[in-house]
Amino acid sequence: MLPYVLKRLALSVPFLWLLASLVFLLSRSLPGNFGEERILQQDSYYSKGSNSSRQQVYQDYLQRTGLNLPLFYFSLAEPSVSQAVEVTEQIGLDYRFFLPNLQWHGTLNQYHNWLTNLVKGNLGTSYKNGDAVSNILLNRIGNTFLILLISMALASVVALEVSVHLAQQRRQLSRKLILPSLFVLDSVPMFVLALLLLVLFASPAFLQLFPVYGLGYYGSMGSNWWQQLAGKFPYMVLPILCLTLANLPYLTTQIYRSVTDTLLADFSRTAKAKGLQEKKVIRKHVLPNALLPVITLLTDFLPALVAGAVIIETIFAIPGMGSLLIDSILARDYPVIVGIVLVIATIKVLAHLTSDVLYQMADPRLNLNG
Amino acid sequence: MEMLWLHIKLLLREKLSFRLACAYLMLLTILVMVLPWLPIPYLPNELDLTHTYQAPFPWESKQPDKAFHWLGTDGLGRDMLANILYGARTAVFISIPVMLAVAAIGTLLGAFAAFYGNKKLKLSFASLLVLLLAFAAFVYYGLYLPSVAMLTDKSISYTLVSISIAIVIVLLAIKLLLPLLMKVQLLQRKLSIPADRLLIRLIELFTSIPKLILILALASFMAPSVYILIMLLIFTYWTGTARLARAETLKVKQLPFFEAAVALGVSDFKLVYRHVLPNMLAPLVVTFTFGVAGLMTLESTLSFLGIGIPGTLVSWGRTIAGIKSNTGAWWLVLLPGFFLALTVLALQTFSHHVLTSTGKRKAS
Repeated sequence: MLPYVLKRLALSVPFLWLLASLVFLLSRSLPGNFGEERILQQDSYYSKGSNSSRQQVYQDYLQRTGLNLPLFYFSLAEPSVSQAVEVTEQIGLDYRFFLPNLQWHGTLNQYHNWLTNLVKGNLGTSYKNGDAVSNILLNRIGNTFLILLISMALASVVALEVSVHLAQQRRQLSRKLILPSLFVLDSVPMFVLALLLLVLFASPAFLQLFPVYGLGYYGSMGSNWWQQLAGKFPYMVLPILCLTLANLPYLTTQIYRSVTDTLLADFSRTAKAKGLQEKKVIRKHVLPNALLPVITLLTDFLPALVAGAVIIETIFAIPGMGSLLIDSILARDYPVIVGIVLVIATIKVLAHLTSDVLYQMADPRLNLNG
Repeated sequence: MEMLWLHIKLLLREKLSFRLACAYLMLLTILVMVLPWLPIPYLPNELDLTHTYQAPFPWESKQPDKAFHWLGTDGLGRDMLANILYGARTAVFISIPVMLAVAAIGTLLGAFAAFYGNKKLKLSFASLLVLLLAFAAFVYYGLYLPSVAMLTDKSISYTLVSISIAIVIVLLAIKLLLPLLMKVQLLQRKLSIPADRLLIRLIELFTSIPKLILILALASFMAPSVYILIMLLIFTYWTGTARLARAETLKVKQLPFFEAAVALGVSDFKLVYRHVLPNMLAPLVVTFTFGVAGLMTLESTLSFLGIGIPGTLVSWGRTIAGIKSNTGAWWLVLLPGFFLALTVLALQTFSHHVLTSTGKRKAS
């Protein structure tokens, strides 16, 4: 098992490198950056600086953040055509335009600096407030994890119970009611669901049961972690409910299908034939076997959960990774965006690996190396 | 093709929900097509600042001389009815072209990758070299230089010359360089291209980040524009169809009739076109409708978040975003949200029934 895990981890490194490099290069190579917008184009009443001083500040900023360096080890410089020549001879073409102008920059480039820092564990600093990206991410990731874990656990438990309930033969009526309503629930987009909950339970127009915005904005809620959790709880109810409801239909239908498939197996018929109660048959004999495919389901589910976190955190103003992503996108804070993408990709790799290992532990017939 | 049609006809006769879903989708399509010619009193971006935040059916504010806001207005007095109708138009006009492109790209890539597998596609070193060279020249002279010339306002002749250089280099490489290189013994060696493995790695790379995150991150690097968004959606969505097409092709490849066709000496292209593609039509239709539903949700979500879509574009998501400044205005969420959910539901019902009836999955 251990060699397999190590091999998988080693294989995932070049993969993550490629992904991060692509996102980094793309984020840096496109025009318009944070500083350019804030420093150069501030023509407001209050800004008294002259154009030249603004240029000076901008150059300083580029120097400080290392943005004045070339992007990559080599570059295709802009094809050089002198303007004067073009004006004099309108019709003649400058042949220099068509020659590739390849330049070598050595290790003094943005990509090299970024990569060496990344290997050292330094994700860079935010353009917005100069904090280390890793610090910002650490501050935010806790809330996201808490919400995701609780809602996923809740959704799994409810989905299990519902599918066990539905799989029994005499539950004709609830099958007819619950399955279609899950289907309908599945087609409500998550942000609409979240806003509906918000309008219903947290707005003055209807019921105002829960506080809506601003988890953690009101200073410390208590000294020990238990009090903190209790203070956070009212803010968490609606987000967790929403994520659970949004993920429930898919989970339930998958588990239910798996359970009904396993019910047809020989061993469940034998268990029934020896006079076991149907409930017991399902719980003791069917469920352990039916849950095998569900293990991979929980990790396939990760993208939906992460996307859900983005939407939920934005709507309920929870300071987590998702709202951080939206904030940094709106501010064009690229180091933070690259950091978030890298963290999510790493989590996905780890989750995939965990699910494979779990699957193997649950079903020893499977050969991981084969 | 006929099989699928038969299934659909049977479903139309037997399943009420399928009939309803089809009727709704047809109605929506027709409505979206003829919308600009319909007599709607307000345009979606028309502001009516004397009537802001009106609840639906505001009878008390009815004026005889002025058109009536049937479904109320939003914070800037934009008519809800017009916004909902034109929002449907935007949703359809973004998701259908994207899904068509995605289906074409994904099917081609998936089918050919699975068809050629890891060993069947063989290229000599010489042709590989020439291909790489021609590709580099094409990208530099055919795409990069023209775009630079356009952006720096050079005369049109720069673009034309650069494109003709690209054509000349590509032709020279294929007609002249390739026969020359083929004379060298060492370069004649054949190399098998692991097409299937390449595709799988590529798909893994693309799916390693959730779609929404990828689109958000990429959209943040560019200016908000509908065309860039459509490109981004195609860029991130093709993996699902490619994976399906690959699986279906692998399935067909094992069947006896395919083996017979190979033994008869049918050409590669015809094998894929005549024997593989018709056999995966039903699953393709299912992923198509499923994808359209997903794209509609995604488009609304993006315009709700206000990322990647310009604020002037009418969309269900934009209307719903109005709730942020007034949580009491429930109709801003309820009405567009209802139509969005209903459309998604109809699409999902359609694909669910096609899926279960073509026997790919047991009915649940």
